[in-house]
Amino acid sequence: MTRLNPELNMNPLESKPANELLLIAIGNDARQDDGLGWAFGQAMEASNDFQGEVVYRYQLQVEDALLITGYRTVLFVDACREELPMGFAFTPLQADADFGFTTHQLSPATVLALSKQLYGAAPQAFLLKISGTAWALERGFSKAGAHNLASALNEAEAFQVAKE
Amino acid sequence: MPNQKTTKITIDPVTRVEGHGRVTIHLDEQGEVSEARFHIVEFRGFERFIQGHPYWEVPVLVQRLCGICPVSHHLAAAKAIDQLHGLMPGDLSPTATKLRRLLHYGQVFQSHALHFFYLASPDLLLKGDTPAAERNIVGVVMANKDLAKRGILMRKFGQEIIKAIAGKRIHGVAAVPGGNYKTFTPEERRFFLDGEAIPSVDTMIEWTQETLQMLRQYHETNRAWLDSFADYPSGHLGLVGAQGELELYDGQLRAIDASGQRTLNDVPAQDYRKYFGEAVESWTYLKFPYLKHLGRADGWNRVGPLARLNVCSHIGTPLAEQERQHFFGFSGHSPVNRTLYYHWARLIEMLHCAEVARQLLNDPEILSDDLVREGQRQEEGVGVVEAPRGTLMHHYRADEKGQVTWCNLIVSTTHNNEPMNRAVKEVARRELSRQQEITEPMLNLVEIAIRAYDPCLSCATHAIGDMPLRIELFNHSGQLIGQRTKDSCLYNNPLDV
Repeated sequence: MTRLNPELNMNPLESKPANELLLIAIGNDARQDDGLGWAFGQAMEASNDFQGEVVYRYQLQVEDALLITGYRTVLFVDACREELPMGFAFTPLQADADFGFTTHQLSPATVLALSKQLYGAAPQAFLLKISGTAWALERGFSKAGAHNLASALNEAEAFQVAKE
Repeated sequence: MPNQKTTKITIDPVTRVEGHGRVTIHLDEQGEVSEARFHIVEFRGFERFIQGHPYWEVPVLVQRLCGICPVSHHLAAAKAIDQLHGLMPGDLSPTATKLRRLLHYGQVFQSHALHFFYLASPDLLLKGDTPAAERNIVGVVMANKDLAKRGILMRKFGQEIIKAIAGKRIHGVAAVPGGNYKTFTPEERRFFLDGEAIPSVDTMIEWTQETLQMLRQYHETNRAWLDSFADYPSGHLGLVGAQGELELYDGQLRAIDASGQRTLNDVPAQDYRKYFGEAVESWTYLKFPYLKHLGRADGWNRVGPLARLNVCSHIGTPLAEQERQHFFGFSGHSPVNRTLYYHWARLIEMLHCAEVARQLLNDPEILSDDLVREGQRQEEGVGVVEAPRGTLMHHYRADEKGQVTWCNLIVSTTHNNEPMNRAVKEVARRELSRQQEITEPMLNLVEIAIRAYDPCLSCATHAIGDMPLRIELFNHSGQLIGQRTKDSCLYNNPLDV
């Protein structure tokens, strides 16, 4: 069962023991909706049902390839500018040595690829994107961002309930 | 529309600097490069919006200038705020000073590791005809897996030092007015010495020496390129210690000209405004600092690892000093004005940082709880440190209520503004003039020159939001005939620095 993406029939929270899950929340809570990923991570940490570990990142770095080798499943959560039909999108992540603008920051797929290349193992990985609309140097989410975060959390929470 | 008569343009993504910049290259009618400029097109507002905040908040606030070297901003501000609190650097407790030093040297170590292994190594290790899409850390991993693994662990070591002292790898809190926030525990010290959880500080020293050995071999086989690329005369600026030694945390300002003559003779860092002016140009938001007595045209200086090695008399740790002597022996003269020697100097500084970290970690005084001192409130404070990229100056004034009323920041990349522009011009003229086709590898050479300085454009301007870097090529009539840009965003996400 998966509530986050009914079409995929997979969910990191379902397939592995909770203590083998790492949630990497990416963003910056000083820039409005860029903090959606962090807010999702904080909400999951506060949830009694969630038993994985959460780390927070402004941006992914090469050393995160080493970090994820210690987990069976990794969920990357990040805000995005795309307007998504459900306000969020949850997808499995394939290793891909794509390369962004600067190696001061890497994509989740690249981190996964580096982990595979360097350490011979890449965990099962997923990406949760949450749509945002405002990115100014302010705290607090836009109305749409807050709504989309709530939608994503509802799905996650619903899943936790379903698992019990 | 492209100029059909003269040039066909092939430009690919421009990468591996931190921040938002643009290079414009102008060709004359003969296809000669007539002008080349490195523009910073984001506006920095930090000096204004810090005003009105209580001064004790400043070391935490200014860390947001940068996600790569927040510790440098934290400590430069802390040193200035100590003075507002009535304390000069020598007035702090030995424990607070040593912990700040350990934090700073850990920061420089990790930042240099990031630059060398992640950003610069593709320029050195991968062949010029490597496709642009592979000319990055991923390409290095494919070419040299062990080096990449080692780079990760070396950066991690520096980050763990930051985490142990400041609580977090990025934007933690270590310094408070008059000292430090928390003690350093025996368990934390053991973590860096015993090699169980992470490779020990001894291993860091050993690995840095081996990387230097690799770089020396590389220089031997690539000497012609390394010696001639973006080699141009300049001044050099940096802090030195009381005996003229390399100093990164606290010292006096020394500058030399291209021939090695002193142009600033060990003056107190607090007096920087007596000696430095800042010029502006209409085409960039980044200022141009210069030594007033030499004027705008002649008073500019390189800063950063190469400049620091050039200005210091020696290095106070034995292994790094040995490497410094190799460095000047190899180059044949001092000062070294060759841009690509920045990479070599950066590695020597890494070795120095690891040696200093080992000394401090073995010093029982870092475990003391004598952390904070009190002084008499002052109205003004100046903090200067050597950040990974060069001399970093923070200057604040506060009113009787303790609110900041004025702030001036001169960051490392600002000092390197003129040098980077010179480097861009030098390389553009040499590589692009009169070429039938301007290709991506040619333009990459322009980037290689910029990257050697490890510029942090976000620091220099506090860019907000997306940070693409763009190269633009103009023909003699001012027409844009080619450009290449690459968006920094992942998943359209405006990631932070």
